[in-house]
Amino acid sequence: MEGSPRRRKLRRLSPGAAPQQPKPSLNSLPSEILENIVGRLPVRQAVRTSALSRDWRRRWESSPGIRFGWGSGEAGAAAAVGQILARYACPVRHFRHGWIESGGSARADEWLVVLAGRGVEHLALIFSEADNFLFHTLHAAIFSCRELTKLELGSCRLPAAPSDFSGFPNLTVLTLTMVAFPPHGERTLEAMISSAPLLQSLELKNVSMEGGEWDEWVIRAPNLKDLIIQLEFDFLWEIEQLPSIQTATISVDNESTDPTDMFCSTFIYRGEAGAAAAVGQILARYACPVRHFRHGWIESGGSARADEWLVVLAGRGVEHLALIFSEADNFLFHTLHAAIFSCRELTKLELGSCRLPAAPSDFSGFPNLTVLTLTMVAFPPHGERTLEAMISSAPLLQSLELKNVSMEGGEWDEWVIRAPNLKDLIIQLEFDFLWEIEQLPSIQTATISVDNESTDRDFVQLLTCFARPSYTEVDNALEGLSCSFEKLKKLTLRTKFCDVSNILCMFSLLNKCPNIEVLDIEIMESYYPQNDDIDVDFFNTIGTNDMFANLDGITMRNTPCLSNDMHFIEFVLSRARLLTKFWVFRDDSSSFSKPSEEAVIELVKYRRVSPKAKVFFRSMDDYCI
Amino acid sequence: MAAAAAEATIDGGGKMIILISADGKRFEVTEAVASQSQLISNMIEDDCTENGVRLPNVDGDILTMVVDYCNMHAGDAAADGDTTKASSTEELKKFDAELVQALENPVLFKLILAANFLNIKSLLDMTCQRVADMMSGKTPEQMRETFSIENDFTPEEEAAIRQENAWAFDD
Repeated sequence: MEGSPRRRKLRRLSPGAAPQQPKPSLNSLPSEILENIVGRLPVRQAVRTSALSRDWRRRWESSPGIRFGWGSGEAGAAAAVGQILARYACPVRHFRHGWIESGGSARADEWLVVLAGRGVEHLALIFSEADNFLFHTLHAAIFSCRELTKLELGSCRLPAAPSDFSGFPNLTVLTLTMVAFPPHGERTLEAMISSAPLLQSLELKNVSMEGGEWDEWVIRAPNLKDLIIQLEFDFLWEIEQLPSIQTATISVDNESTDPTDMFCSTFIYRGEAGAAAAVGQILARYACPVRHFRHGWIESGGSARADEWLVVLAGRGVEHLALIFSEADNFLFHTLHAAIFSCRELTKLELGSCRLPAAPSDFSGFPNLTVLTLTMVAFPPHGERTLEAMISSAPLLQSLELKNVSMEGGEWDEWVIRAPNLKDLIIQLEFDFLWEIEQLPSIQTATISVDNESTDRDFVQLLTCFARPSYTEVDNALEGLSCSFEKLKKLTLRTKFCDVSNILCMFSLLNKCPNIEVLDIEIMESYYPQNDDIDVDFFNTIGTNDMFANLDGITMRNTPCLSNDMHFIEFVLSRARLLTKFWVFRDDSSSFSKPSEEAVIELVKYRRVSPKAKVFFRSMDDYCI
Repeated sequence: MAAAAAEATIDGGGKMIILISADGKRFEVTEAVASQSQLISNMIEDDCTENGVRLPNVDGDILTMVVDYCNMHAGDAAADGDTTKASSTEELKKFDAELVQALENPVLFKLILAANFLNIKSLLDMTCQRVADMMSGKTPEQMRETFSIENDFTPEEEAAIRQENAWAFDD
């Protein structure tokens, strides 16, 4: 550019336009054009032009459009900012300070007051991180910057919006990072968003609300395209209308135990029914894999949409999937799309109040599934095959919860829960669907209850399910368990003491749990009289020698204190050498229950092999979980 | 070049207008092309383009560039909703960048003046931005050198100015 250009210029200019000036100066341009040029410069360069010549001395002050920006390397400029603003005679459209030191906070207030009067359009104020999160509270003049189109704030505190706050009607981009709001600041934030009908991009990262209480508030932004919400707490925000959304990244960290969740794209839709319509659009436009997808309350109107989501999610490698439907009328559950069986990447699956279709013949399982939770989930006739396949195709399964799962049709084949790595098992069923347990070598906690009102035969079945061949030592009439639960330390049982069959079942299970430390027994239907009378010798006959060898605590609830359960207590006390606490909660609601005084007198007489054993006798009224 | 421009615009549709440069060169362009100049657009509205538009302060070689520019950008305003223009938008950017970067200062300044006089906002923006880009990152000395600006400050005056806004001058 230097030297050669002059010569070349002479050649290029046509002979017609003979150059009188060999070195035309920029100064030859009219001042309005020079101002146009200076107005395109960032403030530092614009101010530098004041040293060019006398003509240029104050030119920058009248050049509209200068972008005011200071970064972290220009902390020393903070003192000059106010002066520069004061000298600059034009509207300030762009103002950015990327690193306001704590000493400059008071100045930032002065700038804000000036900027509010200069029609600032792009405003970014990023404060250096405050000690102990003592953020500087911005001057309320921020709410007077009505011309704002972009607002970015970092590491500061917003005051509550004044009552006459009329919004940012032109705002298109709002970015708040580490911004604190005063108590009930959710109202201010809501007003900022909803008063900005043109808002296209919203980022809320580590925004916090002071005070411990929040009202529900709504994000309402008809033109919003990009949404990023990363909060450590859920401040009861809901999404109402996002018809234009294209990308969304939402993570609220207060529930997550997995630290990597912070970095995943997480979709969490809480009860906001209105958001259901937006979910499909968000999914369609979201270009990345969707690892986490949770919809906690799908209204019946949104069921068809849920199918669309599933089809999309199956293709996006969803790993954590939770779909909880609102409770259907008359148990007419929505049947999920079969795409659920194509979600091969699933590691956690939680379904509620819906119906699963039969697995397609080419269902190849959920090889990575570790957690399966089904609550109020219906299966079609012979759905036990589907459930069996889901479980046995998941070798890594660690947690299985089946609550109020139901099978349609009145007939079921036997099926097997086979899960070599299962640690936690919860089964609460109203009917016994002929499930059996085959291999649970890793089981640590198990809670099993089957509430079959019809006959106690089913309850027998339940426990004989645990009791498969090989139990031959004591009672040939009963088959034993096919495996023992060596690792099982805590067991909750719901059982009955009125029939010998129930007791045999319970013992067939307990005999296979030599390391049980905490046993919780809830007695069912304690208001029925005993059909069989069992004495302590019978318990001694059916119990193995090392039964209760490691038992530390036992709780019996709804105890009628009839002879069978009293003999069981006597038996436990005579066997459990390490026992420290035996809680007996008497069922006071039943007229069959033995009077407390008699029960206590009897309890005291029982021999205790454990020197530390203490027996606590309470009414059920005192039982609280 | 002038002849080529005249031929190239026959199928552009609409009425043709003759632009006459200071040195008498004639350029025939469509109204659509010419009315990117707000000045000419106003003249078309006022029906005073019948005998050609004389542009006494625009040289022929500068006007050649302006007409080239306007021909390239003629589709811009008209084809707003046309999404098939995406590729040609890239082409346009390339054309603009090459046009403005190849210019030596005197030609650039003349082009700025022409854009200003003809009131072609996009061309004025582009050329002024080019000058601003050339200023960026330069010290006052380098700016003076690049743009032939004479320093008429006394050393004391200049020192005082630099002192006043020291933050802007330290590199």
